[in-house]
Amino acid sequence: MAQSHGESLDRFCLTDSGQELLWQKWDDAFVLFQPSSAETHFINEISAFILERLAQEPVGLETLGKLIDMEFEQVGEKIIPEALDFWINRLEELGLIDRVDGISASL
Amino acid sequence: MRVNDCTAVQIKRLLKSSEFNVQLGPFQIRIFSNIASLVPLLSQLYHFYPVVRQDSISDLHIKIAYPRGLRHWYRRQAVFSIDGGQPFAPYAIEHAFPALEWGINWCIATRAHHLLMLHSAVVERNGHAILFPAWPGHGKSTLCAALVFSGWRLLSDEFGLVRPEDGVLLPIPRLIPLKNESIDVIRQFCPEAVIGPSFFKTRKGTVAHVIPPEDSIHRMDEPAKPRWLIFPRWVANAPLSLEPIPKSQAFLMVATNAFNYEVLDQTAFRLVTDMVKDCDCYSLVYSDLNQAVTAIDELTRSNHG
Repeated sequence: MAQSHGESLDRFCLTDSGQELLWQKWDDAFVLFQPSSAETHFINEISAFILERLAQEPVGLETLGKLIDMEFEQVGEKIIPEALDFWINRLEELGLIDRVDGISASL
Repeated sequence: MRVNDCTAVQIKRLLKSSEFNVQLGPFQIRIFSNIASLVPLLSQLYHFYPVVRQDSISDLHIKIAYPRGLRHWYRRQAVFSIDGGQPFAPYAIEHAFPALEWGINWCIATRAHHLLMLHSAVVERNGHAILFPAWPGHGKSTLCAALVFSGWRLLSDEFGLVRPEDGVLLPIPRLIPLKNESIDVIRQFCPEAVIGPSFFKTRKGTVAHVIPPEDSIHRMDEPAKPRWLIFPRWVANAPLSLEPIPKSQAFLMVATNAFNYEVLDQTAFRLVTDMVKDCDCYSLVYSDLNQAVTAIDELTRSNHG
C-alpha cells in the first residue's frame, strides 16, 4: 500500500506489464489493454498521467503529487494525498506499477 | 444448387444420411435428422440457401433427432447434439425447428473463435454497415427485420462477425427469429415478408422465423465495412431518441457485448478500438418501428461517407 503523501522514500516505476500496455484515449477516458492478464482497464486522466510519467523514470509520491498539480493546474484544485494514494494503490493492484527502492531504503 | 432445387424426398434422404450440408455465411453446416416434420420446414424456410458439395469439409456437424431407446416411443422429443455431446435438455418434438436454429447459433458462438463475434444485428447499404449491439429483449431483431424490408441488406440479426485480418463484417444472413408481439409487428410493417409458422410455448415464448430477402442470402459472401454503431433499446411508449454517445461508452458496450472478447485478447482490443474509431456511435430508444426506421434512414443519408 502506498504510504503518506509526505516525505516517503518510495519511488514508483512501471512493471513489465505496465510497459507493454496498449493504449487508446477516448474523450476524457483511457482504455488500456494489459497483455499479461488479457484484461482491459478503464482509467481516468490522472491515472493515465501517472503511468505516462512513470514510463519516463521512477518518481516518488511527493514529486508525483506536484507534477499532477502542475499538469492539471487549470482545474484549480490540488490533488489530495488520499486521492493519490487511491490511484497508486489501484495501479499497484493491477500490477502496472511497483516500488523501486522504498523498502530497501528503509532497512 | 440451392435447397429449393431439392424435392422433399431428396431433403429427407440428405438429412437421414448426414448429407444436408448448407452454406450459412462463412460456415458450412452439415445437419443430420430423422425427424420428418423438419423436412417441409427446411424446404420452405431454407429454400434460398446454397447446398454445398457433399465432399467438402463442414465446419459444424449437427444432429437433431429423436432420442434413442424407449424414450423415442413414450415421449416425443427432439435432441440437439454436436460432436456427440448434448448441450441442451431435449425439446418437445414440435419445437425441433427453433431448437435447431438456436443450436446452430450456440455452436457458432462457442466455436468460431477465429472471428471476433459481437452480439449484434448488422445491416448494410451502399457498402456501409450499421451494427446494432444489444442484449436480448432490446428489440434488435425486430428493428433488423424492419430495416431489411426497407432497403437494407441483412448481414445478420444475431452476429457481428468481424474478420481479424481487416476488420470487415462477414455476412451470416440466417433466418430472423421473432418472438411474441414482434411477429405481428413485422407482419404489419412489411406484409411482403415471408414468415414461417409460429411455434407456441417454446422456451422463449412464441417464435416465428422471417426468411431474409433473397438478395441478402445471394450476397452472403460480400463483406461490409462498419460505419455506424447504434445501440437500440425498445421501450414501450417511449418517444424516439437517437443521440450520439461518447466513444469511450461505445467501446465499453461493444467489448462487454462480444461473445469472445476475452478469448481473442489483444486482437479483440485492436478490432473493437478500430471499429469504434471508424464508426459514428449512437444510442437509440424507440417504441414506434416506423419512426425508428425513418430516423435511421435520415441519419445514414445525411451522414454518409
